[in-house]
Amino acid sequence: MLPMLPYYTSKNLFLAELLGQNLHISKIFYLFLVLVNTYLIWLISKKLLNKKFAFLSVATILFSPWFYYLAVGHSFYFLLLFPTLLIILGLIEIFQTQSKTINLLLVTGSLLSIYSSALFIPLLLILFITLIYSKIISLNKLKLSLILIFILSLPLLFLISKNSIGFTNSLRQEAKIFVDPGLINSINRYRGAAEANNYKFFSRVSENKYLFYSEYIFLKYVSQLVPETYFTPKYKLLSYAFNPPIFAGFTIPMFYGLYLALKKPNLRKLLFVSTILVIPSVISKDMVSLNRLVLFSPVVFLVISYGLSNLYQKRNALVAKYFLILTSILVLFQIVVVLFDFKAHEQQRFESYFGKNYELSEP
Amino acid sequence: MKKNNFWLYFALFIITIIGGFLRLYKITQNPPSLTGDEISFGYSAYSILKTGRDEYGKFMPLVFQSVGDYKNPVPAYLMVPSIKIFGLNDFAIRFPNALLGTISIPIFFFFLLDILKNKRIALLGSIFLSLSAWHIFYSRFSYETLMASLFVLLGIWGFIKMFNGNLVWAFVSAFFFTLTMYTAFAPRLFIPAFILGVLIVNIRNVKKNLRNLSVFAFTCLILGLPLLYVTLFQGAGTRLQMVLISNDIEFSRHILLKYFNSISDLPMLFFFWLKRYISYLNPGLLFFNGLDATQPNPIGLGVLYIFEIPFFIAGIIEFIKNKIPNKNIFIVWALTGILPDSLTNNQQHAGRLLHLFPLLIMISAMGAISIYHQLKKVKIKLVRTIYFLLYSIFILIVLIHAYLIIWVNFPRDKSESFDEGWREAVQYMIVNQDKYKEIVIDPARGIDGPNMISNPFLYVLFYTKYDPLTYQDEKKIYSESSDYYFEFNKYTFRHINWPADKNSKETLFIGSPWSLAKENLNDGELLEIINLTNGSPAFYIVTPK
Repeated sequence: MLPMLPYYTSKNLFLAELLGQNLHISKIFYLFLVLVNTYLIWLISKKLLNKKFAFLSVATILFSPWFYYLAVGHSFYFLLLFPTLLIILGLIEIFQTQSKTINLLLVTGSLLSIYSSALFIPLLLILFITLIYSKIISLNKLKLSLILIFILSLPLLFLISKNSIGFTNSLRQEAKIFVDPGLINSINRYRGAAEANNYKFFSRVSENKYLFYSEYIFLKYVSQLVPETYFTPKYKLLSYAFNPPIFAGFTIPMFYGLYLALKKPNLRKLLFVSTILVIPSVISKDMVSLNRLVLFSPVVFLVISYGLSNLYQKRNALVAKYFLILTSILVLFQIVVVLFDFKAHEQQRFESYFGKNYELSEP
Repeated sequence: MKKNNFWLYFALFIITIIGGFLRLYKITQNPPSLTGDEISFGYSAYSILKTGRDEYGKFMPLVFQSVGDYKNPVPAYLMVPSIKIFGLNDFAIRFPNALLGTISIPIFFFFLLDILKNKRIALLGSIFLSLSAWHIFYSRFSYETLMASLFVLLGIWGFIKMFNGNLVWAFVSAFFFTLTMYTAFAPRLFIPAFILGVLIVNIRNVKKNLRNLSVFAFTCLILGLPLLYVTLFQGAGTRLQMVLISNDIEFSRHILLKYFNSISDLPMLFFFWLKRYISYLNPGLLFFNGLDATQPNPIGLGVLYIFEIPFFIAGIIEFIKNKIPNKNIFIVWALTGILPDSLTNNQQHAGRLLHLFPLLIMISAMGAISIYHQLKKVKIKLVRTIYFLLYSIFILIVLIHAYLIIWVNFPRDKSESFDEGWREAVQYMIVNQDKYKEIVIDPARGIDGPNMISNPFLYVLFYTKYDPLTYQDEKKIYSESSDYYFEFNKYTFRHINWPADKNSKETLFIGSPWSLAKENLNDGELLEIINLTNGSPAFYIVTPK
């Protein structure tokens, strides 16, 4: 790991020594980060959606457990969301203006992210290449910013060249998609059974590791993009919670927003490109890592806000009105249920997963 | 018939033949054994054929008590003519289902042609259905939801036509919808929800179609009354109570952390159900391993093939973008189709989603046509050809993998859950039973432990072709307690306790290696070993010396 952001939360921070309560400092920092990230998403919403409805994305975040759990769990990827949002904001600014000057948001975000996580080096490369190749942003508009990013990342590249093993290890730490032997075992099982039945050739053609690995990557990629990942507790927050990352009632505006976005070719293209942000979760050990997927969360919140704002604008139509009412009822109902459930079961679930001697809250 | 249409129907004929072949080829060998449900339906049908009564002596029942799970009547009654023609054997039991699966192909073609007015989509849809591993898999053994899926398709087709003003279709739709409910449990929730949903989204058309709808509702009521009666008063509702989501282990053990027992738990149950409901868009279920035909494995077979993913995505975009006739009915179909399975206490089950096959395959076919049109826009012919060739190779590879899963892995991995071994054990018993005064069969079995309890008496009844009249009238002894005990004629079905049973001379014992451990047997006592396809021993046949 190339620690830059985590440094500020480490116990060596002078303020931590001053207060003598390291974990509290860290907590305050993460709570502050919730506010900053939410504010940045609000800024993005203002630029992409109708300004009047930008608050909807903030409301969706505030009514969703995702950020809170990751902040309490001191998620590293929640930290990385900050530079990611700066990058997104910078790219939107470049997209919406004709200026070819250096975009400081993009540069700052990119540098913060690549100095913090080795994974962001290939990730940003893929992002920029895709944006240019798909003609969403021209190379001319990006050129100066990219050059500056390159120059300022030279020290990092120098360090990497000096310690390539460390860099490779760091990348390996982040990309654990194939560490589980289950997949290779299953390939061997298939192959063994087929060969025992004299289907050796067919098995070699259709049940080889290259094909299965590709299919598995694709399965993981698609799994990041389905509603059950966001609106159900299928993949548990901090590995134990029953609360979904986003309340289930928001599925309705999500689907509506998606429906509207898919109808427009430009938005469709943007949506496809934005899925690059799911790569960190794709290459994780688990099928879906909500911890890493938080980098993609702004896209989800924006689609929900887009759907909500359009439903609100069409509120005179009967169906839109029903959808809005249903969304509100479901979200409010789930908040109440979650609050009661939190009091009744959360501790027990936590203990049954982590064991009784493990505490998350107090030092 | 126009020349174009001749080739279209000829192609459909060939597709149907291929589909029929894939559903009927070696149907008695794969799945490797009749399941408990198939055996039960089969003997009930045989009993009806011979006596007009089921094995409990009930005259032409509308619900079959079976082993206490109160089975639906249509599968059993469909087997009656098949048994009459082919005799009481494995083929006769599976044939009606395979036939209905095959007939689904041309019916689906005509449905698509009529509703979408697009020959290409109709033809491609029927090809996809013909080759669908999902549909083939469930066509190859008697599976009530597959039978129901055809009736659902016909019912919805009639319902759409009825909404377009034709009264005759009101009867057709009502007949098939009701027939569906007599066939399987899942549609009993789906059909009312679907009708209600369509009426809500078509509220403006309801007034225009009031006469047709009244006829439809009246016909449904008349045809459905007997079902309502047996559900309320003859135990047909028992199965429903058994499989409700409130009994789900994940819900009680990991979420509530206790058993569901009060109204205050209902809100949590609601959100647990919502989780289940939303989970049906899981790509694993849809494309990778939803069929559950092998041991747990990320890459198996899904409801659709992996090569259909781009088609499916493109199909959804097409569906959203374009004006599709009766679009809102299709949306209601999708939303309500998930309902029955989401309310049960088991994991997602591809079989219980079969009434959605027309919708899923239609979207896939629409997407494939859309991609084909996109591909045609590629100006350089060579690039176009390379795309086409590469994807064709990929399709071929996926189909080979599907073939290997169904013909190699499935019999090895799942034969135990298909009760493999009982047929062979009973057939051994039939040949040798005259040598013994008593035959004792242990219902518990399993490779990992004696965890699976079957109903071997049904296999004995079925394979001995036991006279139904004799069985209905003769004395039977069974246990009222939770211990499995059932006895008729010289057959006893109970757990074997070898230390005590080894003194019972002139008795034939059939049991798993758990109850008849090899090390406890003396020389010459072990008469036969029945193995599963994967080589694990399923049963030992033993007699004390």
